[in-house]
Amino acid sequence: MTQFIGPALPPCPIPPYLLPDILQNLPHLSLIPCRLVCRHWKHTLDSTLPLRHRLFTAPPPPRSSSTSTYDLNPVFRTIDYHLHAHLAARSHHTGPLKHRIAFRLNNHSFHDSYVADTFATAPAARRVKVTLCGGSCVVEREHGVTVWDLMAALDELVKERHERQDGVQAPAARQLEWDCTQFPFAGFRVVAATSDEVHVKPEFLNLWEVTRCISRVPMEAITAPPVITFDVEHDL
Amino acid sequence: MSEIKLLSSDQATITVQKEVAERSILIKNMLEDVGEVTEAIPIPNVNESVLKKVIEWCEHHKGDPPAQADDDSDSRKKSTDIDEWDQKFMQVDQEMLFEIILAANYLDIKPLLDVGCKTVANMIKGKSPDEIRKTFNIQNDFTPEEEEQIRRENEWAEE
Repeated sequence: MTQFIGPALPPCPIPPYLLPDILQNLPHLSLIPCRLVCRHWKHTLDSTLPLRHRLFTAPPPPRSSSTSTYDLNPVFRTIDYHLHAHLAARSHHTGPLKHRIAFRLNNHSFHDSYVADTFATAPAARRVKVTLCGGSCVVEREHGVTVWDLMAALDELVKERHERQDGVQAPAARQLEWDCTQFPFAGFRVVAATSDEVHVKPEFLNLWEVTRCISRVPMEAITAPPVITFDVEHDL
Repeated sequence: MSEIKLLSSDQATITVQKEVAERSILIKNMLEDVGEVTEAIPIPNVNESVLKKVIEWCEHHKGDPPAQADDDSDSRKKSTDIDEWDQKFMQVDQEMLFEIILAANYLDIKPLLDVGCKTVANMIKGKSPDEIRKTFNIQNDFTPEEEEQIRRENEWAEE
């Protein structure tokens, strides 16, 4: 009688010492699911510095370093920034900012998410300046500015611009006419960077309209509207 | 063109041009240390079929400019692009793929190791954790609670 004995399940053929070299080749979005494969992979991703760099979890470089090129966390391009929802929420809630901002990622709430606490840039910057329509906001974090910090800064900035326009705190009834499907937040753009500070500007798919809504800066003061296209699957 | 002989782990002798064999830094250093050799050089960790495959790669790439000493960080940082010939070359079963990678690592042929790592990276790219586990026979050793926790952290990244 012929009996087939199934081969014992062969162990994972990837040599552990080569795993970092292999993962090093993957773009950011493909690395995220790798944390969920097994303990060894997660440990590798959370403890290997070049990989942490790619996952935007590496700590800021020493102050003495003269970094001036920063990669922006590609997660910004996938954030739906529901400004309208935020402004509505603001007038009714007084809880911590983190729970008042309504921005979501791919329809998942952004709160307490791993990515919210990853760094905004790689290498992580300690000081980021956000400018929008002539206003600016600076975030400083000794341990590195996170995605969350930067979105909160943008939120403050938008709020500030909005309030300035009205002269007083905007009552709920006078919320911005803001439709995130019409003016999608498209991430940040690095304008300038030194080892001390990264200067970024938010980008919206329809900057002219955004400007009209939240700023009194005359239209002619804004240079040509950028046409922003991006592809999340593109090698980030 | 001088030739040298290599002896695989399964005792097969393979004759190869010295220039080709010297794509392997291990063999190159060995030859520099011992000078002229007539004996076959034992390659105890690599069997004949894998060694032949590695030599095939070295033959094709023998004219490549030597790799820069420390260009590893930037040039290969983001690319999962593989040269067309290398892609075809790497169309082997998974066992052979990892044999080649291990041999490249042992023989110290950095560009071949890179191609191997990129090939594996391409097998991971765009896959869910479960598909990755299936592809490489990886045991999921998280507790359900841990898995749920990481899944929650990750969920934005999934569709």
